[in-house]
Amino acid sequence: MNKKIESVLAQGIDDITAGRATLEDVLNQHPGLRNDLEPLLQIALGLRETSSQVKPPPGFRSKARAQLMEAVSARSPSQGLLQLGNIWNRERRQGMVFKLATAMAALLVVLGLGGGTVYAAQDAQFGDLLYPVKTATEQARLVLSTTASGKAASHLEIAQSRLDELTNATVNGKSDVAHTLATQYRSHVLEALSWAAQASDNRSEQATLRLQEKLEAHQSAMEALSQEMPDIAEGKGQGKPDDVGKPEGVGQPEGVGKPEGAGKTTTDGCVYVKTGNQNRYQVWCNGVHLIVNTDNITNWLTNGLSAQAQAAATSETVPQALLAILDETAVEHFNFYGPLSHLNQELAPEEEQEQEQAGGQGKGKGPKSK
Amino acid sequence: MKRDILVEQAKRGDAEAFGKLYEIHVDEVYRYLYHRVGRLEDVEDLTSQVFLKAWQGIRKYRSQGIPFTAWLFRIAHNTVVDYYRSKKREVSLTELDADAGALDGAQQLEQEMERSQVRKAILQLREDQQKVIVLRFITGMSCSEVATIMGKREGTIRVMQHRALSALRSILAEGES
Repeated sequence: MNKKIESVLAQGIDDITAGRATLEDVLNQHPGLRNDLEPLLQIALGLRETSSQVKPPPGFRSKARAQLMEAVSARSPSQGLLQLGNIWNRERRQGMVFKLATAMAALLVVLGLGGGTVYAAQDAQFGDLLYPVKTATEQARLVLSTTASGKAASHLEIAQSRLDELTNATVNGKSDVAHTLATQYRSHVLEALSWAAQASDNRSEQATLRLQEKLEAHQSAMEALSQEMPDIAEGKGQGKPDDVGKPEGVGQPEGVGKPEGAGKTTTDGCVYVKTGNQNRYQVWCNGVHLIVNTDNITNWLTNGLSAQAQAAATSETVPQALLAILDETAVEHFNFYGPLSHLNQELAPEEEQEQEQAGGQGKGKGPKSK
Repeated sequence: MKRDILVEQAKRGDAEAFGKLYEIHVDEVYRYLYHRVGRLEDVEDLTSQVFLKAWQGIRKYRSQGIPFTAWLFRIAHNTVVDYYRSKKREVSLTELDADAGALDGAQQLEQEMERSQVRKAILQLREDQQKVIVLRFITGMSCSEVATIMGKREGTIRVMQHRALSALRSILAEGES
């Protein structure tokens, strides 16, 4: 019975759409299915009718076509990526930015750097072979964003990438790179704010709201980073992005020693660095950042934190088991970053209450309220 | 036939031929994304991205077995998947309503409200049901073409179509009550 109605429905839709039959013709041919068939046919035909009215807004086709054509034919393959990269550092004027970005987009196409390479480049870090592909793809995305709110969103995404790279660089003790990335992060945030302000009234409000949400999420990550490099958050001690020497004013944060060697990554994606104090580690794990004292950091991570942090990321709440881990005396400090940063606000009132009960003598552990 | 020639020219690097393919397909790609993506302001950017990706990959496209349209909509589908994966987007019904409210004129507003209501209902379907509904009724493809794009048998698409329309009927009925 069901199989029949499925076939009759499909055939009926095709016949009516092609003008070979009317709705009534199809229903009369299958009187036993009329009650089930009629509403489904009406919805199907109504969908076609309604959707035929959907068209791109006036001006979009020609504007987007012009940008696409520029992107696909702006430069010949002989102009290498390196050459364009040098020009990119020298010329940062608005017009040049547009031309170069379209050229880079075209270059990606011409060089045949298709989905696989571009996809692989998404995780590239500053200094990696594929990093120029990643940044060129970002510039292409900016050029292809045709609306102010779209450009704001694209700049925000790029800012998020720089922040992720900044975290990685900080973990690995690459202070010079970290300051370049911090500068670029701030630059893209400012661009995003500027474009959000230029969006039409209705969209400007939405764009600004998204920007605000994102920046609040970034704040806790920046706070975590500033413990490692205090002048990153304030933007001190930075040279030009392409001319960064050893930044001034980068001392060792109080209580947090400089990591001995690069940070290490566990098989389940947690990153930890040993601080100057013995058995004391900074950990970044699936949205949870903490400082912990332990004899065996690997066991400590795999036996609890990693899985519970993942559970928190999935449920976007704080499981009791994770709270129990964070409440261990070995944990000196914790806060949430990235997708879990909203949890800082959820936990803040309890923290404040605890501090009040303790006469304002909080133990400096747990998220800060904003 | 004309489109096949344009595809072959585009594969050899003819940007103008690709521009003509863009003219032929931009409305249906836009329409597809309009019904798959919650935020209207993102639809324009994603439409451009689909065609840039198509240009990037057209040299590798082989016509045997997969029509150009099916290939293009696979790119559109993957673009939507990437969009939701990277942004963890959720459909904002408030935003959809706001889009409708931005128009002038009572009739235009009424039409846009109707489109917005349909769009909202489609976005509440399961992902595979959304895809069948949009490809079949929004872009006007046959069951056979949808089967090619989704990599399923035509009979399976008919079953999915029936279930998707039934689910849509329930959602729309709930909306009215």
